[in-house]
Amino acid sequence: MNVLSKFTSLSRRQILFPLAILLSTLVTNGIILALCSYNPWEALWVAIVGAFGNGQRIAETLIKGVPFLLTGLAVAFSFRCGIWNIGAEGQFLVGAIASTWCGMQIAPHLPAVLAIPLTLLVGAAAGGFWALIAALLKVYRGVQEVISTIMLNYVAIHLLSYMVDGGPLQEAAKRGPQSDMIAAASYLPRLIPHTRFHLGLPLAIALAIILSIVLFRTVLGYQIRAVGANPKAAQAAGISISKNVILALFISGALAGLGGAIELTALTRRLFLNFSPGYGYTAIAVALLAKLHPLWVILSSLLFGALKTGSDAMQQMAGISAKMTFVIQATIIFFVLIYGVSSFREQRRKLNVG
Amino acid sequence: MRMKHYSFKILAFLLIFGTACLLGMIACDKKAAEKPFKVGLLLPGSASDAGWNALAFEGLKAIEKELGAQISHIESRTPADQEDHFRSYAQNGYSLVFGHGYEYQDPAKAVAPDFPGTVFVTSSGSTILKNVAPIVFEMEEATYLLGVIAGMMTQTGKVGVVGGTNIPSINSTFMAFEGGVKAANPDAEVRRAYVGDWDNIGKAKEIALAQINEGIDFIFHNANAAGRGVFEAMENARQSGKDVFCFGSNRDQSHVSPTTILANAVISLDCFVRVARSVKDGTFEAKTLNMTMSNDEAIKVVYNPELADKIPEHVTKKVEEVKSQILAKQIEVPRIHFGVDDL
Repeated sequence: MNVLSKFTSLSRRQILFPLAILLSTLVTNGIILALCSYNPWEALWVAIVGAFGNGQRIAETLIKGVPFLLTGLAVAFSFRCGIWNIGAEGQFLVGAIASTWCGMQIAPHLPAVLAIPLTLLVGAAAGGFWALIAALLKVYRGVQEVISTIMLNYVAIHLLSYMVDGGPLQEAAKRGPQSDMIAAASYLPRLIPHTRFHLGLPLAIALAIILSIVLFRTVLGYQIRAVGANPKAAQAAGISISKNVILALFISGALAGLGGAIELTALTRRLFLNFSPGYGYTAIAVALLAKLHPLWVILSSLLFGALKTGSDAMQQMAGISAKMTFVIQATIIFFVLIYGVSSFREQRRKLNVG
Repeated sequence: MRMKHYSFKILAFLLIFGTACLLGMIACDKKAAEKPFKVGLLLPGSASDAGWNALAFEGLKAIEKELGAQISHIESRTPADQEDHFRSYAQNGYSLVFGHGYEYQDPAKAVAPDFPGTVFVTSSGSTILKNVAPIVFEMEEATYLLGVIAGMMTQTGKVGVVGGTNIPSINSTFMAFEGGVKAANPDAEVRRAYVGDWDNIGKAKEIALAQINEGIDFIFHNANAAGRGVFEAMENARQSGKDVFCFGSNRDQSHVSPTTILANAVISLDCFVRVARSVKDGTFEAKTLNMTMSNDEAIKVVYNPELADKIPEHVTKKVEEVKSQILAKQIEVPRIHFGVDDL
């Protein structure tokens, strides 16, 4: 162990702690499964196969991570500015609604080269403006963004159900609460045949890299982090709080909105009731696990993607009930967050001392 | 120093990811050997809803028992997942995969061409490809009969229906129910309400209570798991002395609320077994698989034995009479004609 720690410049604690977390996750879930008379070994095996079993499964794991990645980036970015944007869910939905509109109304008249970026941009802009409402309320009326963003989630959810259930975006045949397919010109291309692996993932990873450069290598990023770390000190140093709050929330909302637009144009290609199974809320766990660092969000969203495909496989191949797979997912997230939060605190402590 | 730190962590992560992939691929190879008859099922809700989903799950178990099939099911609630779930069953060598709902047509259409050896069957719908076909449970004749019961027995002249969401397959059963009510009692009024989803028991209960307060004394629900809310509201109302009753849908739900359910419109499990048998024998043909009351009672009305004495004899007689008229095509049950209206 000593050799390894020398080689990697990690302390013994930094190596042992994650291993302990991994072990306790496995043991806890093993016990839960065994108590409910499932075979824990089979479950573990099947989950790994389901998430990484072949190219198709890996592709599915990767793309299941994309909505977590974009909403996770959204949350991480605003949290860095000290803004608790709990509204990624609503911004995601509004993004999807706007790009559905664009995909049906404008995209048919355009070539794909224009239609795709335009549809994505419209989604991102809609998400951004949705978040802007909360930003302006905060800056000019002192409304807590935690409350306003949560409230705006409900508005977005009901806006969606109005749109597809009797509203202007419902399909022409009026069969069900869903929209018609968007124009083929606005389909985000799928890159590998017979899988759903699409351009959204490379796009989102590129965004994560750009965001980490913005946050840690530019003046704008410095100001945003300064406001997040200590708004009064930042203001005293001549950094405008309101400007940065507005900017951070707009960018955050735009990221979540883009997430909705990508999910729509790449995967579902039509809008429907309950479009998001709660991506925007899970995103908070994704971002916290990543210690609010955009690059780490890539990896933590991948973990959440694997949890999804792994638990699907547990249902399909090991006959484990859906409810049980949710219990397992929650346990894993719980342990992983213990790791994430405690190493986050350790990092902070070091910063204070050093 | 900082950058090095990160690059190590990312390297370590990629190593773990790679190992997981490798492990997964090895495991996958091992499983490909044997080839039993495998049947999968995609459910839009929980298999324990005592209604629509439980019905298909029991159908799946009947297939296991009668045909010795290896079975598996998964909750596949959002369109974003359905395509993947179809694909992974097909990839694992399943010969038949049911998508238990109207909404599984798009994903079935997307996946089917890649897997000619797998048959995809959606519950209701109109999409037919070489290996895709809808199984259509024509509940309408049975719900028409329930409507007749409600129409003849209502004291207030007001009858309610509660649906999950506003979709055609549900509305079609409501049209038939309303037809039955009006046939028996032309002055009766039928109110429709929707829960907005299939799970929200609390909301369904509120809706049913509101209907009961408006004077409605018979409710037919077609809301899967949420239907329990209707039963709860009914039980409350009966305890407070109101003379109200309801009906079960899709499955014999009498045991779920023995004191309030008069009768049920039931899909027989044999519907699923028939389809699976044809796939196993190689006699499956891609066409609309209609399951009706006249088709060996694939669909039927089942009375709740506990409340048999609450239904007057002239009502049950009338129901039998109307039933034979429907089977003899003397009555046309109002409904949505799928495959015609869809085009």
